[in-house]
Amino acid sequence: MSFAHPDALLGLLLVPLLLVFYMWRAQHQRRVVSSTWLWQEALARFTHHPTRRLPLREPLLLLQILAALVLTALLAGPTLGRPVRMHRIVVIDSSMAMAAADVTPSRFVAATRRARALLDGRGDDQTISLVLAGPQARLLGHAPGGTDLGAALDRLPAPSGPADLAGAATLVRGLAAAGGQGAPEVTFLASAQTPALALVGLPVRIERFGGALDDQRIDHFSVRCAVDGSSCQAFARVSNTAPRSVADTFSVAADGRVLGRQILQLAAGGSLELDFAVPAGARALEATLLRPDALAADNAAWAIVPVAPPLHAVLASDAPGLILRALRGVPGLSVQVVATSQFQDSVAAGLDLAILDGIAPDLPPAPTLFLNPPVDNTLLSLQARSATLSVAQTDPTDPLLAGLDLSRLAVTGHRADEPDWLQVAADGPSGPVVLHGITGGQRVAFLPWSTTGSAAAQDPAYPLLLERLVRWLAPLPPATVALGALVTVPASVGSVRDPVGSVLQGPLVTAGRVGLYRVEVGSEAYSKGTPLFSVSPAGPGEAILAPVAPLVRTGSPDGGRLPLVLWPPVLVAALLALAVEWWFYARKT
Amino acid sequence: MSATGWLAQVRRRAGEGWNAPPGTLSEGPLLDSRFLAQLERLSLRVGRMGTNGLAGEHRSRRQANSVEFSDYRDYRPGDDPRLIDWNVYARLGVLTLRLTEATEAATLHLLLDCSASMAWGAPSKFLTMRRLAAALGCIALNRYDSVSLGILLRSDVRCLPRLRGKNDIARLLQNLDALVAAGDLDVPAAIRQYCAVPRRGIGVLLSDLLSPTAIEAIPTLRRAGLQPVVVQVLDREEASPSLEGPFDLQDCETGSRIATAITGEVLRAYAGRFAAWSESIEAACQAQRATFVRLYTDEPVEDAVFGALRNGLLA
Repeated sequence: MSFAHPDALLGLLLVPLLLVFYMWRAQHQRRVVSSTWLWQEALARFTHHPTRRLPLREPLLLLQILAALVLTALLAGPTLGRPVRMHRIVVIDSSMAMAAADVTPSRFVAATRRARALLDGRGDDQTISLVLAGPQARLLGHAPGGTDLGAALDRLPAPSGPADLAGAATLVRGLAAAGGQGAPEVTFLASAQTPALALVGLPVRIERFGGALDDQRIDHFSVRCAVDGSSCQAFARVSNTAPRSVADTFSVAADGRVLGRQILQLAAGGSLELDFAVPAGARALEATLLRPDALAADNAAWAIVPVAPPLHAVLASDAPGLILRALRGVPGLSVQVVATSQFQDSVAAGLDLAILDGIAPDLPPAPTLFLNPPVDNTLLSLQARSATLSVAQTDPTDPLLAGLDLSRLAVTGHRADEPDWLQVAADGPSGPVVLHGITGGQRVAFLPWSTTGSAAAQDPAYPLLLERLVRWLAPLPPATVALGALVTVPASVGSVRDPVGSVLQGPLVTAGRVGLYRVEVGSEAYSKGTPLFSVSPAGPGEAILAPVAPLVRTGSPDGGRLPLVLWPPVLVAALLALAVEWWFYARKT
Repeated sequence: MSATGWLAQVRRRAGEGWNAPPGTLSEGPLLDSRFLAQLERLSLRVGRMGTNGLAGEHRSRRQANSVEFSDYRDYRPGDDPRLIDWNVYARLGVLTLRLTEATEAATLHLLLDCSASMAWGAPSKFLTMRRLAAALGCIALNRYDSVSLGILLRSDVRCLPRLRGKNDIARLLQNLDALVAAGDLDVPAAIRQYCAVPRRGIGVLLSDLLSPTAIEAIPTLRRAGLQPVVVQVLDREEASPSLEGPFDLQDCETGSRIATAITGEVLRAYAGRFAAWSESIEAACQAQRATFVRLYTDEPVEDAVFGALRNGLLA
């Protein structure tokens, strides 16, 4: 026999407690008699007084013992059969709130110590899996298994950013469904501010670390510039999660030079919004709250002054006129035109964009827009027969064509068989009109039709379509990204240096640290040291810093509602009832 | 157990647990009118030594001028010639005195144990004792005998003003009604205190005698010149306790405790000790020619008055 909640067997302690209580009460069951003299003389004949006997004839005692046994059995959940192996899945919250130092030395260290204690206390019939719920949830390993989980716990990165709770939940569900490792039980070691894992149907125990935070943070910090780039304005929002009013000093520096400081009076649970002009020529701003608080990680934020860098593209076309005219409307785009016969991969190397008209060689080393690709290309399967393509529907979720009216577009092209890696942005009865996707880590777009002999070039939507495609193929790097985001750096940027000095190779880099990312190897437009993007701790997906009610909840195995663990309050209530009865009895007698 | 029995047990326990003072249970009047009427037919049986010299209905050993013929005896010089029965002299020619005797009243000394142990039981022994005392007092007062109430408490005695005549029946009942059982009692010491002054009459000791020295009081009564009558008032539970299991027995007078487990064997030992103790009381009474009556609280007082007491104390 095994038990779903073996801890509830502690309720059996009530049985000896009841017996002791009844024995005590029986021993001290006071009876007033008119005189004890005759009793004394009668008892003098006996050498011993059998004063302690189990009062098993008390029907109330028998009923109470029976109730204690039944209640304990109900709460413990006995199951017949062989003992069930247990698969304990420990999820460690690695959100920024875990960096708070209101628990010595920090919540995260306390959580890892708890995880280590669970590992050390693992029984032979128990498997433990460790999941780290950081910006991207990941599995640390299993015990027993090939991974040294103790060493993995030592190497955990400092908590920062939001916890990928959805990813962690998916991982946990996968681990629980894998089977073979025993009945799953999830232990979530989380900060007091982290929401519960959405794990309906799995028994979850949440162990919270810390409480209400005395924290002042920079919620938002960004820079917006006028369209002509003549002036820029910075915006910041500072909030206070402490349950009292706090005075804090807000400091701003531009490119390492302090612009100014301001003392802010932050109401309890309130926030303040600030805006100020950015000096001309400033590129990177850093805002700091100088008052030490429980969570130092969110006391700083960075913002980049957005500057549109020039784009360099190569156009391989034998009739580039109409295309060039349409591309002229793309700001900052300089186009180098080559004949199709002269195009080679080396021509596109180092450029931001390649536009190939009528040819489709193997994927060039730059984001590429294929215009009217040949039927025998290797990337997109096209039917040989020409057809008139028109747009009947556009993908409303695709921002590429948002607000763009292509309904009057009627062109001659080839019907494309849509591969899995391409997304149809505009479709028609004769086949897709606009396709785009990513292959080999590179953005690619297709317009499987020609402007020659059609009125498409005169359609005002055509240059807008090309401009949208160019911006999608060669996007400007975002000024601010979320922690852990995958960032596509401009093609002219070879590598990036992260806030701690590590060099990350492009074109895709992971923003795994908070702070400023600068160009390490770039071109003329992106010289070395140029701020490229920033990662602020106060990202949109960051853990909510309002405390969550520290309920310990568990899920029913059948996937129903999540009932509370009942045995501790029931045990406490039983002991309380016993104490009250005891007190009442003592008072009466 | 029947519902009535259970209710009786509850009442009994209620009386035990809180030492309910007399009157907390519905006691009612000490004597009802029918019983009072029946008592008018009774009188105290007093020995010739027990009268008190006041005019009454009991024959006295004292010779006195009265209509009550007592005896004849020969005239001796010095006798009052007015007592010569001249009719006898005329017939027999012998001077013979016609003797008459005095009829005197007696004193009924009601010595009441007012210790806390008397409040025990349901109905309490105290109530039963006061009912019996009221009945005896009424019998005495109906016959112009005196009634003296002695309240025994601790080692002392408190004497209430002597009552005499039917008019004092109300005061007697009032005095008895006002009594409260509390504290402990040393019966022999209290009796000695009461008998420190010479007394004549009937000395009725009403007590449960639940102390090892209680029987020492009986010779004291006799030595004081009283005609001793001992009425032992008990609850049936004292004679045959219904306890079983472990108990912390507490003496209602002294507060002393005995922690014990009461088994059948213990109960048998108790019953044996109780019987021996009862026999010793009876033997002591017999030795002192004292009238002894044992009255249980579940028995009507009327039965004791018209039964056991009528054979020794009442006529």
